[in-house]
Amino acid sequence: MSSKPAGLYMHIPFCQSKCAYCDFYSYAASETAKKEYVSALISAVIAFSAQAIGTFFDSIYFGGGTPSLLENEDLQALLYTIHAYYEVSEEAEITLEANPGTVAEVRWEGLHAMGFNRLSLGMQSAVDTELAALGRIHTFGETARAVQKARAAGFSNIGLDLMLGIPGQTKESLKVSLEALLSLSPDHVSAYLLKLEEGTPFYARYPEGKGLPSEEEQAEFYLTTCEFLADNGYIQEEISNFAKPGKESVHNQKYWTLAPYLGLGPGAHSDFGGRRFAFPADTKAFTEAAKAGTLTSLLIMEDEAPNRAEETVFLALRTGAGLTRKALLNAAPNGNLMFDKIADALAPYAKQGLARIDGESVRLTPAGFLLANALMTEALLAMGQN
Amino acid sequence: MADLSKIRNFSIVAHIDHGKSTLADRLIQACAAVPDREMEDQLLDNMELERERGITIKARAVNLTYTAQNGVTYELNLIDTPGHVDFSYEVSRSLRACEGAVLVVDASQGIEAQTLANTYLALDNGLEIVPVINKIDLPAADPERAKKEIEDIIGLPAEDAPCISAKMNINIPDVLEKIVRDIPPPKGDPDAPLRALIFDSQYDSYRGVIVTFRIFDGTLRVGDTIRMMAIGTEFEVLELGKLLPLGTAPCSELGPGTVGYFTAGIKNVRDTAVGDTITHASRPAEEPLPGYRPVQPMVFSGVYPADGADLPDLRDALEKLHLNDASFVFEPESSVALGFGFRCGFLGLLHMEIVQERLEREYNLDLITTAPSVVYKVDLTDGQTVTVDNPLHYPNPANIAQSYEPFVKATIITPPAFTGNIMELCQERRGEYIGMNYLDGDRAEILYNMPLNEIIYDFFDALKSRSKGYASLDYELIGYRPSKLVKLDVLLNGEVVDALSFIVHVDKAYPRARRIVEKLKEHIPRQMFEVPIQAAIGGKIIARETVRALRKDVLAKCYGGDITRKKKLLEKQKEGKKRMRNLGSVSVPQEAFMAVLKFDE
Repeated sequence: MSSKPAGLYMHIPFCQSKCAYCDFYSYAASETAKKEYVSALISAVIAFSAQAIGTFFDSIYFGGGTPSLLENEDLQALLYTIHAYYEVSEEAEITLEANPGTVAEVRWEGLHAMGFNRLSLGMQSAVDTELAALGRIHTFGETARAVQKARAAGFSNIGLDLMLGIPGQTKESLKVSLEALLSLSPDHVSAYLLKLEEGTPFYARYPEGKGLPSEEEQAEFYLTTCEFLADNGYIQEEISNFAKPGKESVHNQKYWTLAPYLGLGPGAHSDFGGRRFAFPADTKAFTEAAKAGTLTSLLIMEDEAPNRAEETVFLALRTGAGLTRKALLNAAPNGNLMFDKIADALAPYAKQGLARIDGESVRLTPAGFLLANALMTEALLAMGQN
Repeated sequence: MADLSKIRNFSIVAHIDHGKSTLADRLIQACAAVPDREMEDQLLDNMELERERGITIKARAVNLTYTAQNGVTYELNLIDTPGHVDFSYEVSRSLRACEGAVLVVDASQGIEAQTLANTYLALDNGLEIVPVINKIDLPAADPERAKKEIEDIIGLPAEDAPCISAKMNINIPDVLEKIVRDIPPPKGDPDAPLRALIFDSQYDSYRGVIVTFRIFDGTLRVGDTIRMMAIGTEFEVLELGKLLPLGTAPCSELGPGTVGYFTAGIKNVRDTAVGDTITHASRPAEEPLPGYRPVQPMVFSGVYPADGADLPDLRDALEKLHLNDASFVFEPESSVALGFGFRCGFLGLLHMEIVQERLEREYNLDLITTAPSVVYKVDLTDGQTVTVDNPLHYPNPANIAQSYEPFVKATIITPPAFTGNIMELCQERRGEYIGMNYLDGDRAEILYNMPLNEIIYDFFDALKSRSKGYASLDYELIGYRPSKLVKLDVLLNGEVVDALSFIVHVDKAYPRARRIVEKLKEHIPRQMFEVPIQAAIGGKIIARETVRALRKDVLAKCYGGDITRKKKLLEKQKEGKKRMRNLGSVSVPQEAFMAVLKFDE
């Protein structure tokens, strides 16, 4: 397992303003606070480098929050430190999540020059009233310009995020967004279903989802999107992720294939050294511990001995490639038996068109992905572990 | 031998919530003769602690010593009566052990159906009634009205009834004075053959069954060999004594008129039936005391562990409960839907609820119970007659010549404003109107003959909701009547769920079927496919609802590497699914089985 190349995740917990649906750990911060955080993150990179000795990284991912809110020089400093302290592949995928409204056109060249070779842009919708309803700070025009400028600056791998189930979204408006998305020919598409999260303004604004597209409509939106992207040459990597052939996200694959990843920053999760752990979502605590050199004492141990067989099942079932007999056999000595039990349990659902099952793999169809939790629960119950 | 003239045996008769146990505590406290305030608190604290730990079983009789204003010291035996309608037989036996009863009436609420029923029971047993008006501290208290009610409704003089507040400890000594003055002392011949009435028996894991009794004739001594006249079993008395508020006072002999307990290494309460007469094996009485009646369960229900693995625990708990409550019966049964469980018989619906609650609370069991059923009688075409207490055993309609169902006489007491609502309810429940009496301006008594099977389905709840909680109910079995009954089956996804079948009057089949499919629709979560819910008589579908297929159940959001969150969610879903019953391909939560038991909302 440790022979698999690893991913490094850098969490940047800042946003210019908080989107009304978002429950991720992020907030608006002053320039001083950002600088202070960058130093802390650099300390973290250095502090964890000892644990990463012997690990080969083929992906670095700056996520958030809005990493593009950091100045180029700060991002440069972080990348420089990473390269200095970690073994990073020459061909590593180095991704920056960016909000199209936050990057001045002049910055793209610099970002590409310092080593970023993949962009993930939060387009969400091509309909500006929908963007406003979400509380996004950008228009579709800005996304389109950002894509154009980034390509001109040399980015050849650009992913766009699309949101499904936006207040006011209709079949027709989704079609508009999908066509507009296609016109930007992204290499990768993430299509997420809006989920009401407790504590967000949306949660209070749309009690129990009233005022949002119905569950039925959301399901339709999702299936329409899957079909549209498939028709246009995108491969479904995972429930919410689609890529042109050869442009699958190296970093996302870490999560679904149980490859190791190290996440640095408040709220960042890791599966590293055989254990799952996370930093608490508290920037102040993170910054202070980084200064004091006590970051490891901050860690929340989430799982010291992860049940790899179970993880394999529910993570692999998220992917287009599905759960394979081989993957389960790698995760557990009785993986063969488990695979057969799962295949049996899901067989009735395959008949309903929710899954495709052959002797070597179980794959969910788009309709099955919509019921992924229920199907995974069946699979987990069937594999006979508690 | 004790001086009989200084003994008083009495019960307290009250409607639930009218303050019976508070008054009992006050009487005990007043007789405890613990002068020091701190000591008194200590005493009560001790009782509390013992109750909490459950190390003493609750005594059904308490022996008290009271020195009256006339300077004479009396021995008082306060005999507790079970608190509700299902136990009228047990109540009658407890009352038989007394010469008098304190009738507690709530000064604000007046007389209720249960008070009335138990008062009549006490009068039938020849008891002297001592009326007491309680809760005079309440703002709504109207003691004069309550007294007038006692005089008008029961016909007892009540002008000098003590007006008390048990809660606030007001005028408690008045009650004690009335008891010694008005209730006659017991009579009895110490040399006659022994006749003692069992009015309670409870199981104690150290001493075996502890039998509580009242001696009418003769003398009982430690070492005597005694015989239970109805059951026929014989035992040697090992320990004999009186039950005190705290602990016991063992003695070597007890004479007529006294109340006490004995142990005899008895393993099972079934050997010491309430109402049975104890006599000496060597010199038996010619006639037992009158009124013994074997226990006859009237309501049956399937009781299943929510988790099949808990079956041995359920069996164990039922056996332990049965040690203390011989009035419920159980035997193993199995259901396709629910697996292995027990068919349990109860005295009535409340008794059923009490047993189920004890199983869940005291034995920490998670249960699924099936719709309660009464005992039907069926004449078959081949001339046989069978009794049916389980819908699964209902005969094929083609073989039925005639079915019969049990009827009860129901007495409902309510403020007149609700008589319309209540009569409507009784009519809906196939009641047969007998009559209505205005007890006074504020209270009416409604009498109906009703099928018991209409009462066991949430009738109490419906009665309460239609009378804003004011109406009270009492009922007694009056016999069987011919009836047109059908068995209603419920199908999920085309398959009959045996645990949901029930027997119903043909006129009620359609509305019941509608309600049950609607209730199930509310409680069965959406599955990955459409689930038809149908109700059928024979092969004929008479009601249908559909649980639409689940459309979306997915975490399609960028959680990045937070696998733990996904795992927790699935773990929760997995546990939820495990708690459900898989009926064919359909997962049904426990609540669905319970929800179908409630019809009137």
